[in-house]
Amino acid sequence: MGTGAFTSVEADRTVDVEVAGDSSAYLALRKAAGPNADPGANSDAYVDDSGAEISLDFTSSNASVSGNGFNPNAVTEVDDLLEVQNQGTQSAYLSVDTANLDLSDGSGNQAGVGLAVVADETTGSNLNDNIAFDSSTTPNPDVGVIADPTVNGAYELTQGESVHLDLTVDTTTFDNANVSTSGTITFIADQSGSL
Amino acid sequence: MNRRQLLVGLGGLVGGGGVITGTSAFTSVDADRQANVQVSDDVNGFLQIYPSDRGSLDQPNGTFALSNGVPGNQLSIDINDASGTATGGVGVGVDSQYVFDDVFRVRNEGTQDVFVQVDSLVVDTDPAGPGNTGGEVRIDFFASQGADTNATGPSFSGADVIDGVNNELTVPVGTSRAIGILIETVDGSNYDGVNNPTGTVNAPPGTTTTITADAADDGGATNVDPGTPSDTL
Repeated sequence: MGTGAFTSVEADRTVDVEVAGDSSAYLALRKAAGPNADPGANSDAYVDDSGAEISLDFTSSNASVSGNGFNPNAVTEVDDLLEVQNQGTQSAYLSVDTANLDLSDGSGNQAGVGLAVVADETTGSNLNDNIAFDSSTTPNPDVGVIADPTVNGAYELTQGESVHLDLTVDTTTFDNANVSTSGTITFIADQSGSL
Repeated sequence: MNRRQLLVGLGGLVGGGGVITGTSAFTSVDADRQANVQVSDDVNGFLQIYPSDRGSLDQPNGTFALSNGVPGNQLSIDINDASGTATGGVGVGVDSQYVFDDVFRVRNEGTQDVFVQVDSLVVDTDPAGPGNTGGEVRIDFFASQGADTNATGPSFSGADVIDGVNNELTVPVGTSRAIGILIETVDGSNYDGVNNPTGTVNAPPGTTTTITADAADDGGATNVDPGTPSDTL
């Protein structure tokens, strides 16, 4: 016999979870509008949003562009590639981890791949200084691993705010052309900004 | 276990003092004793279960919990186009790990300290079948310090899951504790909505988890206690 008001309680409660496509998820990822069109030319060509998850294709298999890839020994910037929106309940620090995208030339030289926050869709402001990427290691000094994003560049995405990300690919140390890789990019929105 | 079983349990406990069991001294005694038994609801019961934005509480993720169950204001978890989210946010994304800190609270208004577990769920949003390839969503509940107390929030991998196997949450008498939710979805290619990125996939209706509060320490799990959240009712 129990000694008090209750010794044991067991109660069933309902749980309703909806899984949404990238564009309508609490952290939304979608094609970005460009200066003249929505979606913009870059995001329309390189971002595939036909699936539940967006994907990026910068290879010769992408029929939307005639070029086959990035130039060696160059720094290429792709503006207005993605739009990220915080559709959750509170502010969060956005960072992007591209470390898994390991583009190297076969001689040990790695390309730097980064994504930077460049425009705040909700205010129209330009946020060029807010670098919101993490990346593979060298060589691009601007594409370093971010130890503390709150200091080194995670972008605080307030509730409802959306930003545009530009992609930068740095192949300045490359010896060879005609290499390719595939990997994943991780989008992180965290209350603390720590990775 | 359901509400009906809970009601019976309460009746047994409160009525216990008045029951006289048979002995050899007499063949039969029929003694009526008064027992007052009340079935309360989730927000006023001995084990109170309520959203983290109830009353003076203002934790943003409390919007994912509702005290709208019938009967008795039963708690329900609704991570589905929740009202407190920004416009356009419908649910969790595919191939993602979400942390919802401090979604609901439990308060022990009984007389014994209890150990609380909330069963983890693995839900098939798109059970394998013709045209479907399966797509699991894993839902775990964890012991939270309270979103006000821990402003940086827990990490997905660092949270203490209170599934009764890994951990149980200690809730001393007269105190409340916060509980958060981890949700992990698998690769989007597994989902039926693969050709409709704005489309959504629901967990099957009627999915339930079981919350168990037990004064007995079953010993199998680590007892964790992050303490009373700084904002309490």
